[in-house]
Amino acid sequence: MYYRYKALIVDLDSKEFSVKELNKDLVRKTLGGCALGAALMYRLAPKTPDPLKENVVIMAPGALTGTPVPTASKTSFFTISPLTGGWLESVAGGSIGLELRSCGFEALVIKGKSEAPCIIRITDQNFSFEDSDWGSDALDAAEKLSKGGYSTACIGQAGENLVRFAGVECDGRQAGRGGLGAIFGSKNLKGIAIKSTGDIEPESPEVLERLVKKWYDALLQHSSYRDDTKYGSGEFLEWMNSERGTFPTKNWQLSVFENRKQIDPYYWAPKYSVKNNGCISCVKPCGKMFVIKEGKYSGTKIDGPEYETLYALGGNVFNGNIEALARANELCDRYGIDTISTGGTIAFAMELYERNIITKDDVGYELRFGDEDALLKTIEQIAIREGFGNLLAEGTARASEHLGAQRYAVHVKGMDPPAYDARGLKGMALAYATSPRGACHLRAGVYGIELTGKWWKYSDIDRYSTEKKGDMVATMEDLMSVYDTLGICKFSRHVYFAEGLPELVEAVTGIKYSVEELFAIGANANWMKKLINMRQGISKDSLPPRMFLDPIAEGPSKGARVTEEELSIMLKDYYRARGWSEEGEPSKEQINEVDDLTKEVFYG
Amino acid sequence: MGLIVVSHPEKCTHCRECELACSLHHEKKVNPKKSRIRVIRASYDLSVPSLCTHGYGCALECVDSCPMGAIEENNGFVGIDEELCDGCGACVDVCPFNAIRLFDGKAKKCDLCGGEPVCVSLCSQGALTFEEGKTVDKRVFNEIKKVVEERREDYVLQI
Repeated sequence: MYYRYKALIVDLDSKEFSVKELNKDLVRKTLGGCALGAALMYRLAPKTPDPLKENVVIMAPGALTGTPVPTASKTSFFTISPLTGGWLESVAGGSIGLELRSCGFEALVIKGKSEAPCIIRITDQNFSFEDSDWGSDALDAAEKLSKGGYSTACIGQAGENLVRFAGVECDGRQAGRGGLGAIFGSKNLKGIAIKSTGDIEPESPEVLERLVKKWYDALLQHSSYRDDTKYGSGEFLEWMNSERGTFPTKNWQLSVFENRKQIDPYYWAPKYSVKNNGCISCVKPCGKMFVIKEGKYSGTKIDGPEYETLYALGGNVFNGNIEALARANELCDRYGIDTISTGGTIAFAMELYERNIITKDDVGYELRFGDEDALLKTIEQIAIREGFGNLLAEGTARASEHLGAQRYAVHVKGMDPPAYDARGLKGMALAYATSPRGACHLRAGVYGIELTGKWWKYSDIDRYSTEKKGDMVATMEDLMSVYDTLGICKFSRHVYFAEGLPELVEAVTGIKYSVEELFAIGANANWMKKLINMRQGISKDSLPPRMFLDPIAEGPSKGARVTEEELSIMLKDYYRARGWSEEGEPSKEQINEVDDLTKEVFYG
Repeated sequence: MGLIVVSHPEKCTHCRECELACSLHHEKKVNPKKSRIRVIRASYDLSVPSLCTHGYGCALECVDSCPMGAIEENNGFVGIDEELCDGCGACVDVCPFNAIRLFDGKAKKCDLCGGEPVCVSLCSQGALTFEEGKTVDKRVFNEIKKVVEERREDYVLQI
């Protein structure tokens, strides 16, 4: 039997564990990961004015995570974000999902707050709390916690210090976005360690074995395989600059980064990458093991930098030194903070500094674009909440309100955007606006479609046009939610598309779903995410002032911007495609359906 | 005969697809701890797949240790006769590659999947190859044994 229909509930207030039986119908209708997480959050998450005071953390492996389905490696964490105040899903590779599933659980639910820093340790059916120290960095903590063969999820100092964009380290990868690490910190939870000897029992093992080989071959034979693995997620960095001009630079004041030579993986991968690192079951490993052996940053070792980090700690802060960038990446990983928001927040502060809105008296040192020492220092100051870093640790949105500088703050719902300049990609602009966790490239993943003009069922897509974008973003949000529900990495979506998924779901879970039915599961999850945001008082889908007011300054997309009218047209189309009201509210029927689905998440 | 699965740690990316697929193939269930191959994280950038070398990198300690005479080497293939095995675990402790699992009362190890090893067929990086055991440099085996010894505690199956 594949599903065990059980969740482990951890109450940090009373220091008690309990095993609850999940509603079978709910599990079968949501499968796992994102959709199951949305349903549990819809029912279990409190309406909370302060996510750092009252909150819940839910962890759920993707439905296929823990099996050898190639790239089904993802485990999702769900909480109310301390950065946006709304729905947060934070997704990571690593093997902790496999271990949880082997223990016989579809989900882990963490409630309450421990009196003192602690560890949750799960060994098969033995559950215990351990005292923990505060103060170790995320990588050291992970190494210590993993002794004895455990998979881990843990925080560094930034999470302890409630930095609002602190992440969680998961076996060398990160659940980085949205401040999950701060929620761990607010619960006095240093980490989770899980080990199991239990079996995972796919419903049709022989069929699954055949499909694993089939999709392994498909992934390896795909024309993108060589460069995807050789250069990792940053492979198109040069093209994004020189051919598209949509590489946000200098806090989005520019969209082409002139000093990009070194941060292009075609330059650094051969020079610094010693080998690739793969998430569990990833036969297409994109992680680059990057080592600096000499010079000022000698000893730096990271898994990365990923494309988004090449922007966040490179172009966006105008840093063209790959070694300084790698060091900054390592600091973020060790302290346990999201590279994208770290870079976004610092870039924002650098712009204010150059505009004299803040000065050396405020910061304590010069904070100019391209100053690598200032970049590294500021990362530390944020992580330990010292000096001006204490303000930046609140995130771009809160810092901008404090300083009265909202005009230069680039974020959506409080979340700093990733490396796609949406002024030249209208669908991405819409996707940033509607993404339930705030500006994100992976909730809808439409950037590839717009940048190339075609993908899957889409063709002749004009990146500057608003046409068809509402429907496309809604559809793609649903597809990406299906990927997160199954735990399949989106870096292989050009191989599985949607049509490859049903046979895998059936072989593993025994449940026969058509492509359309899988899309319905994705859509349902997106209704719940929206409803959770509405419950939290977050209903406005908008964009930062810069996207409306400042056209792209130079390069291939020069002059492009998004007007408020364009966004409004696209939002209207999007809400219509979703069956929502003009204000973006799910219909009565949809709310009834969700209420019905989640009426009873546990038996008893 | 004499073909074995050879591990090339310098190419391993720690995806553990081999562990997942091995257990699925042999047990019809997924369980890395029951996999005949284990990938040992030795350090930041070194992951070491370890499995039975069928006598090429060792002194056939398992054969000598078995009180039941259940383990035999034959033309470069080491097999366990499950009928004879009484599950005492002596072989598990002496194997320098930590390549023998003990569960369901029996010792289990790599049987080369009847000549088409599933792990090799799913290793995207070429970190596992199917080669003549006698042509493999002994130093390769010695490096693996060293890591296995250091990290054995983390990788022993205890059910």
